[in-house]
Amino acid sequence: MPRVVVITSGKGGVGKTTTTANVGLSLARLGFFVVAIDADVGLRNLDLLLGLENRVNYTVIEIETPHRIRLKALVWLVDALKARDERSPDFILIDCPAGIDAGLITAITPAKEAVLVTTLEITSLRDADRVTGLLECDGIRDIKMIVNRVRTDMIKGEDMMSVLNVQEMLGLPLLGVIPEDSEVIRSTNRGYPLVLHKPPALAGLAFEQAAWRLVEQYSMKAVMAEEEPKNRGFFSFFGG
Amino acid sequence: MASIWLLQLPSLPFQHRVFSNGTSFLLHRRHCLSQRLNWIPLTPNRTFFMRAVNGPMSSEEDNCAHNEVVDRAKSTLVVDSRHPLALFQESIASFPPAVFLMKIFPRNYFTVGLCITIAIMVVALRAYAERKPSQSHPGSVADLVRRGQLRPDRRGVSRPLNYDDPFNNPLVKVGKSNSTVEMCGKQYRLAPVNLTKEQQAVHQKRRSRAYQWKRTTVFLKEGDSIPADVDPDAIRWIPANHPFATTASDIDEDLVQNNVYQQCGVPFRIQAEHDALQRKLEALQKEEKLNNLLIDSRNAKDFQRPFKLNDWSEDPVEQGPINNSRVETKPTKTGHASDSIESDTSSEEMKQP
Repeated sequence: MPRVVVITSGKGGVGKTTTTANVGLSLARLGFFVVAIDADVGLRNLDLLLGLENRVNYTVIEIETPHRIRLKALVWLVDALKARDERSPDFILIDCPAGIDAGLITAITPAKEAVLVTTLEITSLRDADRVTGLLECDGIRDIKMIVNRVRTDMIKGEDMMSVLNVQEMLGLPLLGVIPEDSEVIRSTNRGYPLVLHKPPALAGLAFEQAAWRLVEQYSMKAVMAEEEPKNRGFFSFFGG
Repeated sequence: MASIWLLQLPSLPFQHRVFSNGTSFLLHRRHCLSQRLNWIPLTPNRTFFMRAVNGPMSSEEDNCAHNEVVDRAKSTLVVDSRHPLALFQESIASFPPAVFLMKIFPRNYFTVGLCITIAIMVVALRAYAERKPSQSHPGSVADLVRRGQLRPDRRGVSRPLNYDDPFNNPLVKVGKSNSTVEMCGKQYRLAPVNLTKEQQAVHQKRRSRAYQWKRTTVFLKEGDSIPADVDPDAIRWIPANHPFATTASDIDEDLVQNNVYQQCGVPFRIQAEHDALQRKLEALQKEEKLNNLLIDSRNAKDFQRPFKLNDWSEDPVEQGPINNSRVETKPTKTGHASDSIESDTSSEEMKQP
């Protein structure tokens, strides 16, 4: 049976689509069969991050326009994927649109698990708390959190909340902590996801670890608090 | 200029021998601060000798000891200070680490130079190895990528990761005490997560009290009555003029559900648009063919009989009937009409003497 995971946040621009693309690719590289669905019907972006914008044939709008049909379309699609005669997917990741209106309701309908993406800003945290409440009202109890765009220098200077503060406010187990990385923007421009970079980027490594925790269904036991100056030995200038 | 100083300790509570090798002094004395320390400058030498004498000394004995030490120091001076090599040796000797090394490897400063040279070569080789090549060798796969025959990103996907566990990653190094982790060359301090199950339950209760929401199960247009068995909180009202309300009755849900795999072919709307575009294209092509059948002023030469140049220059009036025929057969389209107007003016100009 595939695991249907919805990736949501409430607030827009916190990194849902980036998380969907990179976690999905990490799972695929680990050997799992993954289907990623962009549930933002009007403003799709998942194809851009994966570099597939020129390979989109049809969208849901062209096939099933009425709202009440669109609501069920995702459920029918997921059921059809589960009932495949060939190998059914191991993971179905649903990239949820921003907001708490019909788009969110559509996206969370077939899901059994949720990954909440948030940043270390109070606006994002308040929206995340609201969305978590809605998810719990709808019966989704397995909710884990990914904290995105973490800047350890600002945390150290007490200009930004720490990840532990956020966990204290929301009360959700941590799936991953993704540091702020300029490679995210470059990978979006290239249509080449971050986890495929060689050498791996810092955020890419964090996404890989989050994907593995999703597979193993456990959460983080320790978080990266702040960056420390690296102790350099006598022979460090030789490159050691 | 380098100089060597002799340390003379006039009185010490106990006698001990002090060895000096140019770098370290080991003095074990209890009343060092209270003693008078006399520093006597000597001429440059590789070695110097110091002796501490216990007990108070008379001035005569003190002077004798002093002279003895100075004489010994002078007698050990065997290097000719005029020789440039000697100057070089003196400069090396003035630095304690060099003196220390030279004591370990006497008369073998080439070893020191060799070690330094090897170190510099290692650094240079490492920098060269890490330097990215400006151009790959000709005829490589990079040329195929450059020419557009291969996608550059495909080559990265074909090679999967070599490790099964992302945490057993050579790029992620956890410290021995599990308090630090190094990722991508940066070191971070780890802080333990302290969220308990009880705290999670408290947050869930808080949210269940704060956010009350029910999933919408029924969509009704304005004016419809609410069914008896439907919860009013689960109803969503669609305005009467909303497109979703007007098309609700035209949808066959079973057909839509079964069409998830496009079993009925291309969706109707897409097919209709495609047919309309096809018809428009055919109409445009027909019009172009029709236009090509008409005589164009530019292509008029194809339909003219060949004439001599002299006839053309002597009798331009003979072109009049041909021009007139062109004017009579002007096409209806505006583009060709402008060409015909131009041909009219040119014929009028030609008729003028």
